[in-house]
Amino acid sequence: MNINDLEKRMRDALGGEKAAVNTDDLWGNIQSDLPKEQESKRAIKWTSLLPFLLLIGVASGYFLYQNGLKGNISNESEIATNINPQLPSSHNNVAHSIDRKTNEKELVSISDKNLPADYNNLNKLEIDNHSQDKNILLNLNHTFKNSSNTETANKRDNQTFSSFSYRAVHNNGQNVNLTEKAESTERSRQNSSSRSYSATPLSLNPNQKVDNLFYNSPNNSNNSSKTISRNQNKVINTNFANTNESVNHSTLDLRPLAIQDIEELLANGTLSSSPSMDEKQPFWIERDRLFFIEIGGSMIAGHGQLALENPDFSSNFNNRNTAEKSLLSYGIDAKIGYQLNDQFSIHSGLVVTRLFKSSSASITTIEDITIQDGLIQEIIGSNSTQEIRGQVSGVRQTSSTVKRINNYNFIHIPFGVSYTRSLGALDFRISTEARIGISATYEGYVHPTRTEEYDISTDTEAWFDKASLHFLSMGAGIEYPLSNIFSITFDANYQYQIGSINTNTYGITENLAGIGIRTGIHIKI
Amino acid sequence: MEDIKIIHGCLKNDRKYQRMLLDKYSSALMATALRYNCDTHTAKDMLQETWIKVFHGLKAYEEDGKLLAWMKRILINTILKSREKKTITIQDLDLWNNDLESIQKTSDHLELEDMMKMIKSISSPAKEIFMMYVIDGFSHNEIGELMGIKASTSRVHLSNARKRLVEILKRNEQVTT
Repeated sequence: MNINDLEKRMRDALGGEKAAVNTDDLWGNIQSDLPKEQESKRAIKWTSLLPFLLLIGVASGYFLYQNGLKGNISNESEIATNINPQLPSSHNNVAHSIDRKTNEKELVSISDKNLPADYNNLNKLEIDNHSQDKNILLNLNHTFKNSSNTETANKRDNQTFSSFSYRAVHNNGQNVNLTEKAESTERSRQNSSSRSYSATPLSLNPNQKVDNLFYNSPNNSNNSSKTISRNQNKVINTNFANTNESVNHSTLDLRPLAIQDIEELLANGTLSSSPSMDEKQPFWIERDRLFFIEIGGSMIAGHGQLALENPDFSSNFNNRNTAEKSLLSYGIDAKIGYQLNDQFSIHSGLVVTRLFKSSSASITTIEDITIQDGLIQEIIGSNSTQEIRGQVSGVRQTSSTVKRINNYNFIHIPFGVSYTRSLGALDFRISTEARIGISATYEGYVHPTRTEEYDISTDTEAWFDKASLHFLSMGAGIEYPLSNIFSITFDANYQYQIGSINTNTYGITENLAGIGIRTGIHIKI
Repeated sequence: MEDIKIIHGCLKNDRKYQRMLLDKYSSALMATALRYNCDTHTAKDMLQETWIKVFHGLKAYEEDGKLLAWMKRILINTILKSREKKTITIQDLDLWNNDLESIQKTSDHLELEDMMKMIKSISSPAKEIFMMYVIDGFSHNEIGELMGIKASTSRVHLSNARKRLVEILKRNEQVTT
């Protein structure tokens, strides 16, 4: 074989040769040194859109708010005269019994078969005969919440809700105090309208303080010692959703009972003239609680993919343990929303999610050491000589424990729409939202404890990496109303990352997807 | 996927394409690095440094269809520069010579490992110049640029390398006959 043949064989054999190399390690090692031009461009692109999106959001909110005011809010006089909720006839019995309260002075107990069972159970009259003064204290505190359906094809859509609360204290001593707080709310899902009435305080005597009514009781001369105390704080709920009972709108007088009392007092001459009434709407009713705040916490499974695929996150100590894929991330959110109607609402706010991992490792190094002093080494051509004049040999053990923490922080601004439908005591809702935001990654070491500080070098500098992220989130859940204002929410949701931005930043080839659960408090404002 | 598409993706600093390029050519570059280096660890370091240079300097690549050759040039340049800081020890040369004695085959039955031993037996820089010229396809001018020498000097070194190989071939023929 001549040299030309040898060279040809070498070229063929070695030119196309390949050698095994772990490209995962290689990629992990060079990533931090690669240019990040595109990433910054994306960040600029998204962040430049933010002001416009916020502007659109604010403008939409203002527009909806203005329209909502026109559609739902009436002036005070209209509110005061349009209270006409629909109540079943059985309510008349309850109202009737209250109207007859002046006749209850001598009663020891009340048992009206026509009254709801709860109501009768609460009618416990306590009679106190110890006092010689004839004071009759009648303390009524009734709250009625009634819901009824009119007879239409779709009962739920025509559901009417009304509530009425009333508190009256009649002290048959020197004075009778009548303090009232009445609220009535009528809400029709079909018409998407809501009216509220609130009259508190009510004063019949302009010379007295506004929240008290004083007048001489006609029973002032009665010396029998009786105190009748009725204190009923329990809410009486009657649900007539499944009844076919027709409602008589015209005969039901659901004005605050105090007004009826006044009319009665005027009729029997106790009052000579109609007192002034202070009727007003509290500020929070004026808007009919069209806005709401929601604060919640969530737990998401699926983001652990970040920990699994990003060598910066996990490779140091456990070399991408696949168990890291099951790491849960935790989030908190605060959102403000606007109720477009009874079903649909929009919301925005801030969502912060964190995927956190902490790992620690103990490193022990045992090494032979030789400390040379006075080493003389001479290399001439292929010959070398060396002379060692002093040398110390030994073993050195170095132990250190290093704790490493990593976290991904996702900061998102959501823009979402929710649909809510009442199902019995619960409200079922479906919510979807688009999120834009950034992720900030933090990696750092807790300074190690070690016996030889100069032998093991660790990277103690924390670094940050940012990337723009945008998600779609879809969820369904339930909302349990605790009161007219507060509700508790439970949601399950699915999040999907649009675009594979992580590929650019972290070398992750899959779009993030996660399944989460969330609970929160919904507050109407 | 064609190189041209991958390159365009890399030029946008798209991590997906950068990773594809790395996956596609790392093994070839690793083999080249091993030819020019003595141990795997150093070869990995060189490869790592080369990829960083490739991704940063890809804009300078002229799309002439010789992407691998272009990357090899960067790799070899990286290796040669790192070698400037080191000296070849006597021990290394002895090791190579000992390896060479183990080749007891005729030239027709030389295997890859034998060829490598033969090449390693050539002294530097003739060895590197031989590999660059014969195996990696560089011209003397390119070699001169990379190594900071004249093209004529490169030719002289190549000639010396060839003489050395001819000596080895003759010796093997004698031993086997």
